[in-house]
Amino acid sequence: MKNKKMKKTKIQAMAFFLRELDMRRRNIGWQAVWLVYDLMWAMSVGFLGLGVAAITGIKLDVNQYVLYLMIGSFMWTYLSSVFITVSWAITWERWEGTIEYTFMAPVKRTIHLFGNSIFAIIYGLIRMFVVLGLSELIFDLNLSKANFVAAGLILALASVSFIGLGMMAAVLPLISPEMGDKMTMITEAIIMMISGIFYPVSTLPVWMQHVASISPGTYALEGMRQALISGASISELSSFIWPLIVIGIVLIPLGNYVFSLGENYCKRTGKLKRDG
Amino acid sequence: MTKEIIVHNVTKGFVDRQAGLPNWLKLKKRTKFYAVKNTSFSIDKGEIFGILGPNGCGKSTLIRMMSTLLLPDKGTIKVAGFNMIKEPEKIKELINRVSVEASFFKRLSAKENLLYASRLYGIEDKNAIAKFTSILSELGFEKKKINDPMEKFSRGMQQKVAIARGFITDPKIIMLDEPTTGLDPKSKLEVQRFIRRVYQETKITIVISSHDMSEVEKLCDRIAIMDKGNIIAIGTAQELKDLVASENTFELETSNNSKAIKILDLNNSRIETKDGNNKLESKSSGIIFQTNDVDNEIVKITTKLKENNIKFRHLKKVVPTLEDVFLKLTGKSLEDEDEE
Repeated sequence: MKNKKMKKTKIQAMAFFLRELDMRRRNIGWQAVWLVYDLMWAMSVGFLGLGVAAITGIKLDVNQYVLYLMIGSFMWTYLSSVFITVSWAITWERWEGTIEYTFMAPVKRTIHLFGNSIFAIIYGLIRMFVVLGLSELIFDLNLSKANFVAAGLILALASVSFIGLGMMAAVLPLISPEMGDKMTMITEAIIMMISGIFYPVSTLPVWMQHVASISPGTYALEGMRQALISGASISELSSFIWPLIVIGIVLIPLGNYVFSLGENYCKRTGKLKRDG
Repeated sequence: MTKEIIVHNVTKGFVDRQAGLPNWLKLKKRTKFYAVKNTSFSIDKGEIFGILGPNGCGKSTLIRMMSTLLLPDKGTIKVAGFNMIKEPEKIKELINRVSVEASFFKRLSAKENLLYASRLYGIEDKNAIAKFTSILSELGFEKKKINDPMEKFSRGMQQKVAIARGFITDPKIIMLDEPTTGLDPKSKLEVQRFIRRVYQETKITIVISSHDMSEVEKLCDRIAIMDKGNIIAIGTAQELKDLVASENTFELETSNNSKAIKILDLNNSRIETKDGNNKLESKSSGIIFQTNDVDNEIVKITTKLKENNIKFRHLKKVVPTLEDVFLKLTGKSLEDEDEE
């Protein structure tokens, strides 16, 4: 009985994973577009780093600066991909009008969002490593001191938090078919800006620094830089790891809860219907 | 007979919103309209139950509530003994639905869409493929198109895939919300034949909403007539017709109905054309009249027609249709679009 239930759960989670995979396969042209866009964005940031000495006239370790910027770029390629994939899974369903069929099926929302999240992580990692590999060829990034185990841990913990954020953002297209996807993109842009993607958070105005202290992006970006640039050990990164664990523990159930509130709201107001 | 679905005093209203603007920017006062009003009825296990009514009368809202997709404002719905608000997960295991909008991931193929739908219910791919291949073949869907994207399909083909999606999970209760709307006559027949066949083999409970009277009459054991959010009559097709049937209403057809209606004096009986507008003229349709003494009337009629060189074609007793029932009960035709 338990095995049968487990098998059913596995098939249900795979439904979302394989659907996302099919969607990417059927929209392969767009995947290429996004990949090229990510790559050009990362390279532009790299060239900005290389050009900083020429722009400012100040002598500095350009390679170190490029690595600092590029880590921000790679991390954001990954984290935004996770965030957007989780949240846009609902947007797709709104566009296509399939949301009623998905919500009518006897599948728990946790399994639904878990299936989407696993795809989001794998898809995000592929995009990030493609961009990382191609950038490495051009910029000759110095990762000789990098602690990849610690970096992997930071990435894993950050993924959990961003999945939670994605779940919460997914509620936006759910409750507002017209505005939801736009609001999701604005949310992503705000998180990127306050989390110190290309700069230390300390450069932000004080009030923004307070906001940054609750963003998982802040700990993920800085923790990753210290792991890859300085080779910081896991214990040295504890001030980044603990906040990520705490934020992840809070955000996953919170994201699930917020989503269930959104689903309930839609069922009360009739917003699951395609035309709203 | 076990009650499979019990709808008790259910009301559902929606707030009319202006699209495209956030609520705080909307100048128009928001108004609430009620799609379903204080409605009660029950559906027996193993019954094909029809909900007949014009567009906008609340049929789809009712079906959405029974399918756990909408929460009622008031009242209770029980499906297979489970409370729709408290135990929706139990209901979801038993039901499926085919809606008038064949919603799919348009870039994905029929096969990919159907596999996604079946996986949601925990069905293994090999079982799902066998099942939907058989359903689609019965519905006349071309097998070679199974891997084509849905966006390339006609409305009829999309609806056939939608019907396969509804039945692939072997539901105990299926809600068919206008399943044949927009289909060509051949596809319509194929779908109706399929529904009949599945019902005969499985005796599952089927709820069909439609504004197609003949479809509802052909398929359903009992029919609820719905108008403006209310169920105004419920019963078998014959029971509903009996509500408006008159023992002494006849239809007369002649070679020149327009002329005949002018010369006939049907013993002060009410004479009207078939469209019921009480016009003293007739087009190609017959002349409707009422009389308690049909034998004498026939003699008078045939004599007068002969005197005026009009040929008698036939006289028959009028059997009301569901359209007549709807017209009588609501004062309007089923084809009338309801603004709601």
